[in-house]
Amino acid sequence: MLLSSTSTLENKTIVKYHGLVNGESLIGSNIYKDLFSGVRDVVEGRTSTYAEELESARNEAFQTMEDKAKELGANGIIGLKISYNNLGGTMGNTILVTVYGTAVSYK
Amino acid sequence: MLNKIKQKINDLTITKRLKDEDDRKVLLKEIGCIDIGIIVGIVTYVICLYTHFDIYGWNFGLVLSPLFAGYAESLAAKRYLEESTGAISAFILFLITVVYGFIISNPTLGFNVITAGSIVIILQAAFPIAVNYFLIATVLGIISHVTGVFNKITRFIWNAYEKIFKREPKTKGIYIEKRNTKKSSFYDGELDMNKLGVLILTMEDSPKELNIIEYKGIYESSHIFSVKRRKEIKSGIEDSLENELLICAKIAEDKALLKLIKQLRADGCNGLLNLNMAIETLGPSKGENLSHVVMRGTGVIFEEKEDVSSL
Repeated sequence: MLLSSTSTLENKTIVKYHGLVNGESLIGSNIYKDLFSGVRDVVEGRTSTYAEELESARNEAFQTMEDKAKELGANGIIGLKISYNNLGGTMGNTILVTVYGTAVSYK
Repeated sequence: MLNKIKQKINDLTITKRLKDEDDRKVLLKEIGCIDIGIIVGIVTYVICLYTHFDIYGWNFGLVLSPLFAGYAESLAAKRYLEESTGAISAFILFLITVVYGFIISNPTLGFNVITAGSIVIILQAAFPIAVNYFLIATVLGIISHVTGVFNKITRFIWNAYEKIFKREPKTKGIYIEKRNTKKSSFYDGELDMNKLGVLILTMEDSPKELNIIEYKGIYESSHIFSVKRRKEIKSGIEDSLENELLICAKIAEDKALLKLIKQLRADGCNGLLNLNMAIETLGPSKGENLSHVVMRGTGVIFEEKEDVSSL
């Protein structure tokens, strides 16, 4: 599956536009996880832990989106967009990762 | 053996510095700066003692003399060396004031709990990292190992947590039933957004394979959603919070997109260019988080071509 944030694919011909595909993932809405992340913040362990969790969430969102594209018969996603949204939480750590793009078939 | 000791003395930084003429001059200047600090500190302490500058028997000289000593040393070092000497005089004054204030002027001081506590506090002030490490790591570690008190405390906290939050609450069944009813009443999870007669594209540029007959302008839709956290926590299924919030977010996205598609269809559009989605938190209120999904893009009418679009 080819993923691209560009509007077109150079040297490739798009034969079909399938439409919108998206994927979501969420981390850190558990109240106790939030509390412990606050503790980790004190001992400077938060950055790496959160980076790992964010990467895991991003991969999960990508996987969902790619699965949807495959279901539509697409072999590429263009105009890809990623957004990270803080949905609040007990300590403001609930982060929603959203990825979306246009599923296409190209040759 | 003697040669080895001599070698070790020669290896010391101070011994090396004394051999070099320039280094020796710098070292003497450093010692001079420290001396200035000590003199200023002692003078301050004497003035404080002489003027009885104290409150409830506690003399301010104990604080002011190390402070002034360090300040004077730093000023002198800055002027003559253009670098800091580490306020060594402040530490020396600290020792002088403690020895004088607690031992010389109190010859009847006996060894009791208060004296022992005072010694610990004085040592803690003089060597904070070493003493704190000793107190926290060594002393607490030995107490914990011998008595098992921390093990008991953590076990108690865990048991209390399990008792309060992990029990089967009476409201759990009612809550799950309500949640399921709520979802099924307004949302069809099987709905395919790409089969509603509007080709949604996320690209900024119009695709060269599709001809645009008309641009209809910008379209925007939104949907507000929330998760009642407090109710969930009370219902004892806080582990499902993440899943619940994710489902709510997905439903909100789909509902906002549906609203957008309805608007587009009403205006005769069969395509949307440059779809942008934004999710904003509108502010938590009493455990309830309110979020706002906004979808916007440019409505267009594509020339329908079966071979390149899913229309």
